[in-house]
Amino acid sequence: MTTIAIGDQPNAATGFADFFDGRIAAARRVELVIDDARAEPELVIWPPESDEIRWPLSALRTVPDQAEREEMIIASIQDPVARLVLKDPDLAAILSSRCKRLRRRPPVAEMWRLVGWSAAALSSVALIIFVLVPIMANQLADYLPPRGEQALGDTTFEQIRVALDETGVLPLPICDAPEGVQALERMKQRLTERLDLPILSGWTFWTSIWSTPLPCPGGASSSSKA
Amino acid sequence: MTHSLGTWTAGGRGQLFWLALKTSVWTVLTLGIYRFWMKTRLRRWYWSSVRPGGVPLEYVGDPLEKLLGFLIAVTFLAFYIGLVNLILMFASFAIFPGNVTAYVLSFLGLIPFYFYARYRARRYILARTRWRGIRFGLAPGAWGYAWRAMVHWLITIITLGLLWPRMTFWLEKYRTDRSFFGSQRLHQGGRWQMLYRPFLPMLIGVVLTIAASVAQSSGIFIARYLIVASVPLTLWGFVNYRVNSFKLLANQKSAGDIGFHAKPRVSRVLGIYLLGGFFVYFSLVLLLLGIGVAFFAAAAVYAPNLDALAEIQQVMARLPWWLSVAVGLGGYFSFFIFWGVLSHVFLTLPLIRHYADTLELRGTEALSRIDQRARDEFAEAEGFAEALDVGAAI
Repeated sequence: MTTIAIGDQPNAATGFADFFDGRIAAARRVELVIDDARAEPELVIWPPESDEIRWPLSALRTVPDQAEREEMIIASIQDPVARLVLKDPDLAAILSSRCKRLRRRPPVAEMWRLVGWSAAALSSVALIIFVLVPIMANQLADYLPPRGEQALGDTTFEQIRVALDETGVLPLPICDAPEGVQALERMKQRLTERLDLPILSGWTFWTSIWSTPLPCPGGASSSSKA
Repeated sequence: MTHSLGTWTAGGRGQLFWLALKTSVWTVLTLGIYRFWMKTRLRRWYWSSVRPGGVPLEYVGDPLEKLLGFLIAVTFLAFYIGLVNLILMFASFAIFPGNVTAYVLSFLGLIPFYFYARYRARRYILARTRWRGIRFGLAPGAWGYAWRAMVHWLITIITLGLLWPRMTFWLEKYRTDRSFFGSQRLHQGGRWQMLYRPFLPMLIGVVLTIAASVAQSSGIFIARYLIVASVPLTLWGFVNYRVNSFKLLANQKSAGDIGFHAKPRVSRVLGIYLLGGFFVYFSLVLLLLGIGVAFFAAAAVYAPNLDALAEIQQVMARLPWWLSVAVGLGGYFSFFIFWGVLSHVFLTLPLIRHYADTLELRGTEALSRIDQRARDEFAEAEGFAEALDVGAAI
């Protein structure tokens, strides 16, 4: 039963609800009264055969995003687990109008932890890309046997061949015309005259819009020409 | 006499549609950050729509703890992806010239993390689920789960799938026996052999399909008619196994004196998959048609003398850049947004409803003896599952 009084003082609104105290899994039918006698108005919850529970109206919050629209689930910021399930639309309307913070969401807790971990995540990614990977790659390169370097070069060569192609699907064609091979051979001799390199293989011409030589690991140097 | 409680469901497709649409649009607008709020809000809605004994479940997970967990997981995974992979790549080129070994090892190395993340995600979700004011929970044990899952998968693969039901049972038992409702521990009873009956149709379907394929490739062309029957049998068998193994496992679960009685129907679940899948694809085709109509309308305005169908590139070149960007980005994002939203409305919701509607709790007078359990703080939430994309269905 709900009574709405008209006058200076709001009258005691009463009703019933199901109460879960957050200690045991039992539902209890409770009587609800809004007590305006105190300095701060309170919702008084009377469970059968036990002491009353008082929640200040300013501490009441609804549980959001509920599928059942005919029902209001109320919690108190003073008690994280207890819940009131209210099916009485009149009392729900009174509480909605009298509790100004009913739909307020809790403030962002642990903001500093969030900022800290955001910074940690970003800086660990940056540290790995810009510091650790280059250092380790430099050190590991000394230990890579020539055969492994050759394999790395071949893989890189194929990847660049596909990447340079504008369609992104077919690898660039390799130039094997006699003039091209001869020109490449001359270039190779001029470049390596005074060098003492362990392996020299895979000099390749391909057709691309760039004319830049691309050195690959393992001596597989690939020259490109427009 | 024992009491029993049925399960009700609340809320309609319309409510879910608007909630999912609104939160998905926010996710796109915030470049993905709102994703953690979207997941939280959708779970709150789904949980509240399931009402055992008329009392809704409550999801109390927090979006910020999800964001935090994701950042923690990214911090750790960055080291794995960056450094471990570099060392693997080096070793792969040094020992077996080539990079295949590194890719295989890197993938194998992620497998334990996958199972670890799944268990942790389940622990997080249960720890943030309440019913009648009481918390659920899952005891720690993610590494134990990870190695067990890998051994079970290995046995299943070695036996060509014959021991699949054994894996289903023991992994479910591992999870269930560590689950709590308040102070009450759950227990998975039964034997793994009980899952063999629902497993048989799928097994027969697979064996027939393989036999028919082999027969056809060796010249027995009549075998193709067998495939027409064996492939649907396999698919039906798969749904049949999922539904009936869930049912058998649920009916052998208990929480003290409380038992479960589940009666999901294969025909209904199959119907949801087929009809829901049809609605999702049909709606997406309509959306693509809409984008096509928008393109033709724009072509008629900006390039009226060109054949919009044959000269798409020339028409695109004449459209103002803002229109191309709007149609392109709008079309791209609305496709994925609607894909997600429609899957919620036509697949996830009907499935959850069917499983809930057909679930009954027995011996519920014992509920009043169940006490609260302590909060599981769980700093990294479901971060690893999120970062590795192995999260739950919702």
